[in-house]
Amino acid sequence: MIKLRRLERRYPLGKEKFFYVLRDINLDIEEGEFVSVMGPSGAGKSTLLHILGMHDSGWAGEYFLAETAVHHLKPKERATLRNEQIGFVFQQYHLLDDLTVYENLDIPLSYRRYSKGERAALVADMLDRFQIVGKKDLYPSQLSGGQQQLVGVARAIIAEPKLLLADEPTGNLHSSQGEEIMELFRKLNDEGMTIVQVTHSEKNASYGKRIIQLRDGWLVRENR
Amino acid sequence: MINDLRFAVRMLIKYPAFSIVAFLALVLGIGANTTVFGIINALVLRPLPVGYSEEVVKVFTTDNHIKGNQSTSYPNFQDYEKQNTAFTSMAAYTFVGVGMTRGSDTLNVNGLLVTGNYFDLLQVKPSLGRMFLPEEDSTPNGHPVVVLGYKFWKKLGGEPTIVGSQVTLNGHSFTVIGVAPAAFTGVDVGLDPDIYVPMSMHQWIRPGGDLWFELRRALLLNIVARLKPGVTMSQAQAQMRTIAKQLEQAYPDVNKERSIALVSLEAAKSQGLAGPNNEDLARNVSLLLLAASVSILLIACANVANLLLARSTARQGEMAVRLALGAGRGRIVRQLLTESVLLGVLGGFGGVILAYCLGDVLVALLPPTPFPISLNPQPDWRVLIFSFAVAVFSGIIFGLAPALQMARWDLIQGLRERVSTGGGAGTRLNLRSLLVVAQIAVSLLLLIASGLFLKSFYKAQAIDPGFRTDNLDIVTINPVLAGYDSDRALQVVRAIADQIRHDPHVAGADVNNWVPLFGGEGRTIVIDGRDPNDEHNRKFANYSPITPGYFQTMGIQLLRGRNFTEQDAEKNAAPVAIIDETMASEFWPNEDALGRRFRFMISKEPIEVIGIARNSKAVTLGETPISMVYWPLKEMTDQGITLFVHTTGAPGMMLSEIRRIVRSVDVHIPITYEKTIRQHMAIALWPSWMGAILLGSLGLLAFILASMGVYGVMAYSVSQRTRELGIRMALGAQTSQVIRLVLRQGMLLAAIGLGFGLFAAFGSTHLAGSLLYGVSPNDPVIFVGVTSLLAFAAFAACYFPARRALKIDPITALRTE
Repeated sequence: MIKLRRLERRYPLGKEKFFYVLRDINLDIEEGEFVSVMGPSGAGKSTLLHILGMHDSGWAGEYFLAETAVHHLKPKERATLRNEQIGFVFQQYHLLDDLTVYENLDIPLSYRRYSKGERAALVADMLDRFQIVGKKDLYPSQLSGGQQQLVGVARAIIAEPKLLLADEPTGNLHSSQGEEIMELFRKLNDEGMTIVQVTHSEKNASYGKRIIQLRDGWLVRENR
Repeated sequence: MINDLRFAVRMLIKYPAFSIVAFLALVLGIGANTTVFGIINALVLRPLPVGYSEEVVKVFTTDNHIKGNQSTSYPNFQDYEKQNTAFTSMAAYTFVGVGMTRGSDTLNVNGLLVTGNYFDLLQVKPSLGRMFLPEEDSTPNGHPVVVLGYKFWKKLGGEPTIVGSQVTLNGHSFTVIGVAPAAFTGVDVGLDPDIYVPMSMHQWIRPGGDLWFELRRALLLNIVARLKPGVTMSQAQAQMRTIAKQLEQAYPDVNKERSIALVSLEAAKSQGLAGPNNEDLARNVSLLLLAASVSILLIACANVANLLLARSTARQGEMAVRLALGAGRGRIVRQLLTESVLLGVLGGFGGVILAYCLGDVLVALLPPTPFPISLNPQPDWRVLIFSFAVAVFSGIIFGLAPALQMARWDLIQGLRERVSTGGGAGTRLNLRSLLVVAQIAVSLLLLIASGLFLKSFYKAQAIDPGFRTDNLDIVTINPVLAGYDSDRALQVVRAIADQIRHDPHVAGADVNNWVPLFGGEGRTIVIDGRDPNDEHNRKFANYSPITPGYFQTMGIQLLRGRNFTEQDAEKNAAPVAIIDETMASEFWPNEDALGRRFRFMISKEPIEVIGIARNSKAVTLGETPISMVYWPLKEMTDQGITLFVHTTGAPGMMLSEIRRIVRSVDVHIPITYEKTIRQHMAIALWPSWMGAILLGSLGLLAFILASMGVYGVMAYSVSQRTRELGIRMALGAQTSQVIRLVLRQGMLLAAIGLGFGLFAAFGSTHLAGSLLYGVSPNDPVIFVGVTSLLAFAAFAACYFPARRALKIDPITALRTE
């Protein structure tokens, strides 16, 4: 599913001086895997996730996603590939405050080629699947943190991505809400979705089938 | 798109303060443009309600000795009509004042004497009854019929039964045969005739005006003509000029150096409004107002763009999320432009409502001229389309830069800043600063233009017209319209003047056919004894038949020679004239004009110059002097005559006494005009007053908007620098240092804006030079004064945010991060 070769991300510090956030990352993630990325703050976890999510384009090296050489794609082609393949879950949920739950779920579909009818059906299906039909007309500020993240996950997978990226998805939730989200991830993974999550929590990491450790931008260890 | 629109509405509701301020700025900007476009539409763009108006042309006489396009004599018109093959038909019309008797009172109504085919040629259908039949213009005084103007019909009660009824015009009974359609007010924009009468009835409608219809030299009629299919205007003009050449050869004494010019009806329709030699005034004023209102709109757009940029900080995270969820940059721009265009369209609605209100105000500002100006600047569908386009265009203009900027933001940074507060304002402030610089520059340009027009108005008020400007009443009466012939009319006028003179509050009462700062008759003068074919010996002059005390009553100085006596006005007296300085220097440049002789081109009788009077303004305050011939009043025309009464006390009080005296002589004599000299001067000053008011208002608006813009940017800048200023204060910065820091930033922008504005003003104000009285387009007082004023406003707009910066608590400020 994902193949990274000699991937690096750096920022200029001065004349011919650079600060390296990621260095020489070589990584393979198979389809259907559930990978947790761990490491101390500043290790480059989130940067790696944003590169995988094609939010960041200032990296060097090779990145293959589903056999497509992302490093050779033009920005527009990357955006198309991202919209087809990837869903993203954020630690801060990042629901749009001025949209209802229903509209937040509809947003990713509105940016893709879905007809109005298809969008309505998919949103209805997702509301039903996540048991939040009764909350469809509420605004994010009217939901608890767990409910917001539930909507965040629903929004991430509504366009049926093959890869779900999650940046500390339970970081802002208390433990029972966190567990609920992680169970949801496990279920999605069991249904065949590839998941890469960034987490500080050993417990959450254990939901994955593999743990990757990053330190100072280097990939230092892989546990299966 | 519907979702974008729904979200846009929600965003407007969510940020009410932003929405209201932006809405108001746009209402002012779009309202000003809609109002100005309404004026331009009324003056220039709105097509005349004439069938296939593109086929219709106006036919003017040109004379090498008279500037501009002129009317045409009746005999020449008849020859042109007979000999041409370029037109399907030609029609003529002339404006005329008519006395309409209703009950015991005689109203002065504004009429149009028209040839019988006038309405047919223009393809204008009546709203009631019928228009003229060809035979109704064939027999002199044979068919006393009249068509009423729509507005006049409404004024009379608007009853459909008026068709077939009788009205009394100049003491004669006329049958009303129809009412013109509501939209039709003739073919001259701004002039709305009350009645239309066949030209064959001219002896009843213009009694005593026969000579005007007989003289081939008299420039009386306006001519319209419809081109035959396949004939172009230039082909028609070529043929008409050939006929004019033949007429010049056939009648060399009166048609010398006269030819023909054709102008399309649509192009000519607003050229008459400002009088002869001012054909381009409507266009020039339109362009000036349009430039000013577009500047206002740009300033308003810059203000709204600045507000949007300030708000964009709060929405950075939202945009980042949208990008992360798969929105393309184009899609983000579309979303934001939907919001700004919605705002623009809402502002457009408000602007149109404002324009409706301002239209009424503008109509109320029109002066009570002798022939009332009728202008309808109210928005029509054309103006509405314009406003909608301006609204959408504005939405794109002020929304594009913030939208592009937001769509360019770094996604990851945006997601982080959604959580943290502030930050990332550096580049936005640059664009905001640029907008402020542009606002100040445009505002300065507009304010300088406003200042020049205000000073011009002030100067115009101070122009010495060459005659008395206080304690003077001007009253025009027309005994001919009450049925008097020329001789009896003259006796009646003299009797009225005598009675007025006996009033203890009157120092002098005299009459003249020429009304200063309005107009009268002009004649071609030939120097006696010289070759009339040499153009140096043949010039055009204004013509003033006066009574002997006129110079004293008007306060016009007689420089040399003698005044008229009563004997000079006797019919058998030797013809004598008094001329003004201009005529003396133009006709006899290096000689003494006294004792010299000249003649009117239409007469063989030599006239001796017995006096030279000081120049006085004849038509406009800013005019280049045109020669004036004063002539002893010997006969009355049908155009009425004007009494000039020098009062010892307040002239307003005397007006009612003059009216009483006229009524006591004959209640049927119409009084067509009565004003104190101040009121009369106000009409003359109206164009410059209107220019000063309109441009002054637009300049004030620009001033307010630009000040708001500077204040907004500085307030935003201070809010963004809270932490920095807090640290500075925590490190020991003094009050004055903090204020200086903020002021320096704002005043630098202001200085750059003022620099660009001055540069633009120096390069462009000369374009308005022809519209300014006695003021240089680069007047240093205006340039320095207005620049200082705007600099002071910018200083104030920077100072208050700077004061607010002092209230920052360093501890709180440091916690905001």
